[in-house]
Amino acid sequence: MRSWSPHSGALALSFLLLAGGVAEEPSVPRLELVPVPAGEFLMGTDEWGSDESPARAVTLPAFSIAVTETTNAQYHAFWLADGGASSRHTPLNFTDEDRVAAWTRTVAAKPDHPVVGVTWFDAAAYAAWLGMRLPTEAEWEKAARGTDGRLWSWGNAFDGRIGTATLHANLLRDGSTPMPVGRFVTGASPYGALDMIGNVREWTADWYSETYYRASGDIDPKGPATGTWRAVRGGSWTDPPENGGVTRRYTQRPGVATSFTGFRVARDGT
Amino acid sequence: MIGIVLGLMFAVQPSSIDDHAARLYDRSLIAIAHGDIAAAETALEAIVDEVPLHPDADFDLAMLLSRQGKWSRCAELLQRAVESDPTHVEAAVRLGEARLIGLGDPASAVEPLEDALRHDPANVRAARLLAQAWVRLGQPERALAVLVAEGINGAWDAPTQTIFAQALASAGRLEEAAGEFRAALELDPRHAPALIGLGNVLRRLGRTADAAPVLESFRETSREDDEIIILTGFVRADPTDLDSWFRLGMRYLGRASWTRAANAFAHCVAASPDDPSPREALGYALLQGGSAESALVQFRWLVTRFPNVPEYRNSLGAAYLKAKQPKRAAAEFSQAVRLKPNEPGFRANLAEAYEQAGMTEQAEQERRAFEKLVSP
Repeated sequence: MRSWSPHSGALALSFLLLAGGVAEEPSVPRLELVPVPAGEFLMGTDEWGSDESPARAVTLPAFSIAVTETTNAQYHAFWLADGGASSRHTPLNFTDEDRVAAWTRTVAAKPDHPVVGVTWFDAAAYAAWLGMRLPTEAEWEKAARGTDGRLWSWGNAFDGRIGTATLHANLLRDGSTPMPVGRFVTGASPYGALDMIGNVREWTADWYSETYYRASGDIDPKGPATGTWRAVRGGSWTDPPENGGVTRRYTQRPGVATSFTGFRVARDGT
Repeated sequence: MIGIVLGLMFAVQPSSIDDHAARLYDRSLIAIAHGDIAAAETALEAIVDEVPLHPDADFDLAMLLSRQGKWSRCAELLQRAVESDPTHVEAAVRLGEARLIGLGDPASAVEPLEDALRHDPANVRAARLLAQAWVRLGQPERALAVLVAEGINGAWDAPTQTIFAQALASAGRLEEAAGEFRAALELDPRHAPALIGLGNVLRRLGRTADAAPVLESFRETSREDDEIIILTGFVRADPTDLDSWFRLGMRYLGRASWTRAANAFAHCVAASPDDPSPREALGYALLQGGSAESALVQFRWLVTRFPNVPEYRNSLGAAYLKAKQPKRAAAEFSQAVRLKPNEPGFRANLAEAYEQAGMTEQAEQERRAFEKLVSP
């Protein structure tokens, strides 16, 4: 994993100029990626829901994935470049206020929170703007669990002790709400990705099919050719822990935006 | 002036209605995630009433109603979802399912299922239901053609394999059907329709001796399935029915479905935190499911409240052992042995804990005590 401090204020404040260096070029708050080497991993499980089985060995080429979910500040840079108030990608707000005003206020108040209220199309547009893409379901799961078949990013027990901590993810509990990205450092995946479990569910590139695991190949699967829902992963502050860990598959229609679904980006190679 | 005002209203209103509906929809999804079905239904009903074209709300409300057996309204909503969004393949599939299974009308199920397969030729559920409809309509060849189509035949699960076998049986191809039913049982040995299908085919082939044990397995399986279905219905209708939650958890324990069992017992513990029985069962389900740390929480609670119950000490020891803390495990097993010295299981566990803790002498001593207890 590349060096990264989850509590660093630099995450929100340091701005990285994208390639090009032109004065008008849009800039985006620093985006950290972790490399995931090529190779095999165990995908799925035979224990929980039937759409997660059969568990099988899947081989992926090398890729890189964002350390954290995309933040409001990062998405805001894209939104400005896309026309700001006239952008078709203004996130939905959940407070009965005007969209643009509420979004602007949200960015100012919570720059490090994961962006929510975005559709799959919004997420894909942001990723494309960066020259990246959304991870496939297989990439997402490998980045979350590594190669040892673990059930949670940090191990096999949801509340296993790591150091002095027993809480490793922002899942449903009393008063749970979205939190700034990267707070649960003990929940890091074997590759160093944070919040793979909890905080917000994450859009993936794939269409969802409940029977896909039985039909898909084991080399770099990219999901069914078509579908009704996109596959969403990771669980959120609205999901109780018993709903499952790294193998759990959620679904969401691509045009639906919710207060508990965000995304992270990925790209080929390391 | 009025024209300008109306024009502005109409320019703004559709978007704000969309946002309002989206917020209500968000609320319904959160309620579903929390298991608060009544709140989800209220939010979805509001969208369905207020927004003429919201296929997602139509679909989700239909799914909630289908769980309650309200098939007519469910089918109406799904029909609406399909009409407002013909690409909503899942709505078409579920409409076919509602008509075929819920309303018992295979003829009207065919059209939406064929539409679904046109949009998504690899949709196994659509293919299975369509094949089922053709079997019920007495056209098994059409059922077979649906299931062997490209994109479908590589992804069969036990139910799909069973429908294929039923179609063969319906076409009079009994030997082939028997083989396919057996293939379904390889995928899921407890799949009741495959068990009864195989039993019936064997009887039709005159192999009554072979059919008897298969049909007996079916009777056993269906009794358990029925009980789970009934208990699930009870807890859905009344989530405060703790007795049913507990019995459902025990049923899942019997099937080694540890996560589902733990979920059921967790409902009991949440509602009745001072009751030791569901705590013990929850701890056991968590332990068996590989969540030793979570199990420890439950067993520690029990031992704190009931320090002189040897079984709780023994369970806590088992959780420590699984959490790779053999010294703590040994301490708990020792307490269990002190409280109930003649229980051989406690002695065996204590020996194992000593062994893992590297205390070989004590391990050997406990093993001898165990052997003394179990020797005739």
